[in-house]
Amino acid sequence: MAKNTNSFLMPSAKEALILELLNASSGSLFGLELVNTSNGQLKRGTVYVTLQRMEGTGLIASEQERRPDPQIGIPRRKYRITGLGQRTLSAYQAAHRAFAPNLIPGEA
Amino acid sequence: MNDHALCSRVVCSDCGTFDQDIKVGASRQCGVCGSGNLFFELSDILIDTHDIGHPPFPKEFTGKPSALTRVNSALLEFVFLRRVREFFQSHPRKVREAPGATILQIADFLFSPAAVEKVFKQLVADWRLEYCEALRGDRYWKARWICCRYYWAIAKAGSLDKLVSWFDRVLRRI
Repeated sequence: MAKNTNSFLMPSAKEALILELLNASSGSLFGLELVNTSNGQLKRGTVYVTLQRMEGTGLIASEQERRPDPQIGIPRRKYRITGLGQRTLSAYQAAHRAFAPNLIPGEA
Repeated sequence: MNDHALCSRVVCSDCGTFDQDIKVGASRQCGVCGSGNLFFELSDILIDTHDIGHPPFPKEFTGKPSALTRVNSALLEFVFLRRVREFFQSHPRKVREAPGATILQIADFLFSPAAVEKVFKQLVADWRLEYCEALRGDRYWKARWICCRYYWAIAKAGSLDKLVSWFDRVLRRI
């Protein structure tokens, strides 16, 4: 059976939150920065598992941080939203407006 | 890790100064800034020289002050805390592994390289970042709490939280 490439997977609440935070930052963020700016909604233990899954589906992209030589320690990864992630976020927010308008954070 | 040949160079995490080879277990401070937060470089594993496992308190500082000393409790408390602080600062710092080094080795054995690179190494990198920040502020208990928090986070990431949540449910019923 051919794979349906037109299927749309609705992101989970945590994935949508990550997409919102990355979209609002207009740049790239570390995982720890995502945890700190999420006001406790994201946890350290699950954020990187979620980020890895989202990167696998193409919603976000990551790159290792550039540090001046000599480098010490483990290089950290920065995450940014992709075009697919932005479209997915827009669709998610539109779906929430249509079915659950009071659930979108920040709306009056 | 007691093999001198494994340790190639020492880097100060505060000022970034490099130093020559040093033996594991030796006490050392940075010659530029005096910091004890020195790291060995061993490929991508940091070896932390800050000894968080301090020895027990000196005998004369254990236990509560006597009834006589409670009269000047505020002054004695100030002196007590100052002596404790001096004791910690004067204790020689020894070479030891950075937090998360063993867990990385275990994760490298159990999980795929992609999972180790994108999940566990990132967790350990954040762990070390917060741990070193706490140490720089001389917040030793904060550093210990950070270790506990990241042990839990790594257990969750390794999908052990199901076992832990079962244990938690059992504890709540007791």
